[in-house]
Amino acid sequence: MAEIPITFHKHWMDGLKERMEKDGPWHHPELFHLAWEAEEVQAVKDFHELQCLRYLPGLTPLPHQMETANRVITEMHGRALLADEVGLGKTIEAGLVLKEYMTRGLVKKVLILVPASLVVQWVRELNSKFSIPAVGQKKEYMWTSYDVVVASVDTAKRPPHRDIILNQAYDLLIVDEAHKLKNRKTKNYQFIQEIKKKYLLLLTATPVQNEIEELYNLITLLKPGHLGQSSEFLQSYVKGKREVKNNDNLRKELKKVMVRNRRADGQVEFTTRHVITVPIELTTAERGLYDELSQFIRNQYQKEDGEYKQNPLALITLQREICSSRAAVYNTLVNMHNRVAETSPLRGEIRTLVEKLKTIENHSKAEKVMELLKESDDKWIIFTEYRATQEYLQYILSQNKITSVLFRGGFKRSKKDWMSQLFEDRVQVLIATEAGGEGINLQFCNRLINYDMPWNPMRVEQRIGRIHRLGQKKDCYIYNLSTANTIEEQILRLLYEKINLFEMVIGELDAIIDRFQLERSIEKNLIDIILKSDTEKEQQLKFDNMSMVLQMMKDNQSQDDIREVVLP
Amino acid sequence: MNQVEVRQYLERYFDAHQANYVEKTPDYFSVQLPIEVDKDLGNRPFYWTYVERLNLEPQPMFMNFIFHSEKVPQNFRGEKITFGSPRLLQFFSSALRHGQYIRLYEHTDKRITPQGNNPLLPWLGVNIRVSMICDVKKDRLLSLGFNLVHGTIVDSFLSTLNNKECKQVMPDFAYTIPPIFSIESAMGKIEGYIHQQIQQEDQSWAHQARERLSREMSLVEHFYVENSKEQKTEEKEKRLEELRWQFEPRIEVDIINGGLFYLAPVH
Repeated sequence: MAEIPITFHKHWMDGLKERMEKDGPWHHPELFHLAWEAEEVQAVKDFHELQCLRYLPGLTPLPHQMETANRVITEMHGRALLADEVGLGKTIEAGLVLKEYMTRGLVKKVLILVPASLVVQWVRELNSKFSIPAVGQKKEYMWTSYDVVVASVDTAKRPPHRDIILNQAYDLLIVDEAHKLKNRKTKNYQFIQEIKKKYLLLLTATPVQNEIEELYNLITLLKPGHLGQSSEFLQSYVKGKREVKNNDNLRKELKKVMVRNRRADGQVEFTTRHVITVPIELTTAERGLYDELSQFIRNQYQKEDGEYKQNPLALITLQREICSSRAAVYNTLVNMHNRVAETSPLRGEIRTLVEKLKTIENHSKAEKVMELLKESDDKWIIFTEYRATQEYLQYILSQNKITSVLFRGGFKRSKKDWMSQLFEDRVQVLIATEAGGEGINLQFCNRLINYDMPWNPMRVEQRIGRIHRLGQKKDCYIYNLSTANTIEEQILRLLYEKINLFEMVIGELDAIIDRFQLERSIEKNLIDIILKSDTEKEQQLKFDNMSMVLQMMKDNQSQDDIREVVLP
Repeated sequence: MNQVEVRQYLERYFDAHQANYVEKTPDYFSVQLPIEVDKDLGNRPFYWTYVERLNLEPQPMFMNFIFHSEKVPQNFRGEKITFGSPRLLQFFSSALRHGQYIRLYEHTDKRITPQGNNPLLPWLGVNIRVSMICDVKKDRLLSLGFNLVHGTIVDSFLSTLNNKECKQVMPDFAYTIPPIFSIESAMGKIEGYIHQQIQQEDQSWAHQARERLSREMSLVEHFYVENSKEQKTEEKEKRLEELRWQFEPRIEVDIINGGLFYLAPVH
């Protein structure tokens, strides 16, 4: 066998000779020993045994996460597709691999490309859980002067960043949400391909969404040639867009480059999710207001030359707010009032509505919340879509001597941390308007009230995901407030009962939404139905149709889930 | 390293620098950094330039360390330090920067002759890390001593010093024998010795890495074969380059620290 090349670094000698000539200065013997001892504790004594946990006394990864990190390093040699189902901790696995390579001195320069909304979260996790000094890219010089940089793909691929990145060599590149690279012809795909890299981790929960070719593209990005040329791949494995042949062979090949842990494998226990619909009956006065407002909205939209024909956004907001709180409705009405011309008869109409609003004394929904809170002294989270409602709820709670803090998307990071800390240590209720984005972890709480319901099912899932996640020890109780005979009840029935949103396993919803690109269309359809129906009956009918379509998509998804056929 | 070892390490580090402790218990301590440590780890170069330019009385900073947070009084604010915290790594590299070169003399009670002076033999001692690298990595540490008069090499050199008393000053009634080997030629011999050691090591890791590499390369060759366009050749070359970077076995030898040791001859 050819000799193994040996590099002998001898610059140490220069310092020694200099000291011999000048007769010093010599170092302290104790520091000499300490330096060597530091070397001894840090030396990597084995090719394969994971070292990084010694450096992470605060971290206890789950067994499947350790095993994954191990396989990525020893069997996959640092190039892998991490395709765990949602909620099993892909980030932890990637962090372990990164830390291990850094500990061994095999990785120094690292680039982590993630969706813009996740940059901060990645930076935080790497720093706090792994003591890895990662930074979020903000200025151009950071690409070169920091070793571990987190950035969004969209920034990275644009000039001038693009050239700087392509001019460097990365020991490790991590791409989160890698299913966005499923198309070989996109700029993103080609960009990732061009980056010079030694090790590569692609992270996604949905390695195949529509076509088997997507998987081929991802693997080819990871290791060009692993699945052969694309014509060979088509020939050996593909029968149709969503159908494969020689499954066992394909699965075997995939197993060499990808890890997919499933919840069903039972390595991770999720607690049970109890979903409770809490019906609310409006008082006669409240009912009257609801009907009047709904009629007002429909009239406004249908007025041929009306203010809101072209831009019905305010009307939609109003429609959604009716079931939330009068505070929210009040704000919107006042804004509408101030925006129309002073001479417009609309002003009068709106003023009448506001007057009516003021006459109603009780608030059935808020009263219901107070009843619920009295059921348990545990911590509670209340989610609402509206700031006005949020503030109103805090007022009501304090009237009832219940402590609470507010939480909003607009808060600075430090304030968010402070609020969740207060919630954990001191107060009983957190009232929040946003759930997604930069994660706050609230596993210490297991009771959640959906005070009003988002029309986008992903947002509901994100809300619940704050408490029902890895690390939650107790069963979770989700209370959905549903005002009888209102739009709220219909939406709830449509989205959350017909497609069984709440009973879906974590991640299943993502898959459906992603596959059928429903993220925006559900909400858009709802708006359409509400505005364009002449009667309640028509509206009801359209809702039913929509729910049937959703139901079909869902059945379809579970029947021919290509992932179950192919993935290892 | 467990928490007791971490604490001992830091304490020895500060003792070596003759630092003043404000408060010291087994679970936490508070220490005023010696000036040179503050300059090394305090991360405030501007302060030090300022103090020195204006000739001011320097105010080294205090650092508080916590080893067992559950046993620390509530009013004690400090930094929890464990194996793996970046702070400890700073102390490791500080120790390395300031513990690279030493010169020691053995002090022994035994006299060869009642009146005469004791001869001391010069040794070059080096602590070495041999890293075997492919897509994975393993280190082997060696502590070697080279007798600059006889040309013999001793393994585990540092541990042979453990039961000797060595100091930075030459003892009275002693003289050093002048070396026959130069430092360069000594280092050449040491290098030869290390090569020999490496040859004797199990080299299957390198074989396997080369096998992996050639397997991966043939996949790439096959993949790009039908695409002969210029850009694709470039892409292929780039990919092959990445593979070599990832798998090619190599060995790197680094000298961690060392120095000159004057030791009494062993009979």
